[in-house]
Amino acid sequence: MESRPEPPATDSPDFYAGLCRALAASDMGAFETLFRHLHAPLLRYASSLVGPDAADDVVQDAFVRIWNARERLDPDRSLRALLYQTVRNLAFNRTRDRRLHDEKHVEMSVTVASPPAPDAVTDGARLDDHLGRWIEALPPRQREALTLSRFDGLTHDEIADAMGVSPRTVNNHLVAALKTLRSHLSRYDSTLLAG
Amino acid sequence: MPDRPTLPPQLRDALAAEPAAEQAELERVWDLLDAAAPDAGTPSSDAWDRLSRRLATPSPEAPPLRRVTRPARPQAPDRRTARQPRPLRLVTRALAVAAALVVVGVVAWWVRPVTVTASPGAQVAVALPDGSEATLNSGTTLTYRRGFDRLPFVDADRRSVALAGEAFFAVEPGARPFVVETHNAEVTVLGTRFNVRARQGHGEDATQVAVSEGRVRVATGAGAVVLTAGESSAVPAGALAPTAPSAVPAEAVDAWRAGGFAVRNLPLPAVLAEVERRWDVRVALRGTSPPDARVTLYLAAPDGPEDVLRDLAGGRDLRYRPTSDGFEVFPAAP
Repeated sequence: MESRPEPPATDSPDFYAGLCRALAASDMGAFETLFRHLHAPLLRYASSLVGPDAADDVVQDAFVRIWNARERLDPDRSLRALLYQTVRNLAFNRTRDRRLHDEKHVEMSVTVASPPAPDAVTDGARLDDHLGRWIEALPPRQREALTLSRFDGLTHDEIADAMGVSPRTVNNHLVAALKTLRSHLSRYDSTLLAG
Repeated sequence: MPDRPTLPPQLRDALAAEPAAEQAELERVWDLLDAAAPDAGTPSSDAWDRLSRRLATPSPEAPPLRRVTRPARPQAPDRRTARQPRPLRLVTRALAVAAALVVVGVVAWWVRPVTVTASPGAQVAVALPDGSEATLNSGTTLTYRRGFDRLPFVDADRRSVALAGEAFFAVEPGARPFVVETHNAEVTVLGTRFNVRARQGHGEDATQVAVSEGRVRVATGAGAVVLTAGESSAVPAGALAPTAPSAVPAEAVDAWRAGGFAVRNLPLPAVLAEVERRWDVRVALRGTSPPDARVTLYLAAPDGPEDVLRDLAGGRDLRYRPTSDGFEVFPAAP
């Protein structure tokens, strides 16, 4: 696909600072580059916060906000962190509005099984399935920090900025998450940890 | 997703505070996480189009972006000619809004789960989106995502159905696991034929799984068993793990689909409730029955509820008699 993210070298701070300056000049091409670059990971991130159904809206709204604020962007601040933070805020607003709405309206509900417990495993499950489940079972903020750091490649500073905490707290979340995953892994197959 | 095996520097520093063995293991966990890295993801090709259309719509915060190229007018337009395109633009915009509403409506319809219900006295065959088939026993509800998709044209990562009641599944092999979610367990397969009974009420709260072909795994939060053809297991109410596999006669697995009646290890009230659902009659239980009496019963071809009740009453010091809307079952006088 032409929208596949480019090599990681383009994830450097300079890359985003350059985009930031181009955006201030209303460069639509730069905005599209930014969009193609971060749309997929942001969609996953939003999905983890508000579920897959609402994620698309949240990400679209976030990009609209960035565009509308393009002339006031600070090139010294990570544009990527700003996008993640915007998605996060919009997601939480939506969750809050949804809760208020649900309190006022009794809606028809559909019976859905409770989410699988962390160790509920699937037949023929491979390591990645297990890891996925264990990660899902982490406390939300640990999971969030871990995903942003390990899979989306954000720096500690960017994660701290997006989540509104200190880089030290990000570190604490990550260490706690790794320890939990280690205990799952050692119960699952302790030889993996020796490798 | 680009692979990032190296630890972020701050995290490396933090791990350095741990004991050496611990540190090595935690770094190993970090590396192993690579297996769980999500795919790069291919954003739906229209995502950018939708965004750029929104940006092109004038909003109070942002001036319109679209540079509309118009043929140069021979003379400077006066106010009247400059205004002319306006109604047309309004119509276009109204059409765009209407089209967007239609799209939103279709998506909203799409993401609503599909619910199929077999009412008492009926059985329903369901063709699932992947070609798998489910047969619902009387008084059963099955819920699943339309097309097993997360969004239109976006596959969910598993083919999951939620079951309340009893159903027999013939699952098409596929890359995505097929998962039956019940109130207390998950049954996962890759292509096989099996029965799941997950009913609540009348003293029954277990999930029972029996396999007629292939292999399935039954899992709860704390444990899992793998069943092969001719085996069954149950997750009793409040139990942490499924029971060990036990043999089940092949014909009893889905007897109900062929007009038979089979129950395994159920309390008497639950069996009577099953009779009620199956033939849509009322069966009242008068007096007390031994609370822990469990019933296992297989009738290949009962003609009606009475065949089952006769069998039930036979070995159990029970009697039954017809009432205006069904039957009542009561203890035999001593």
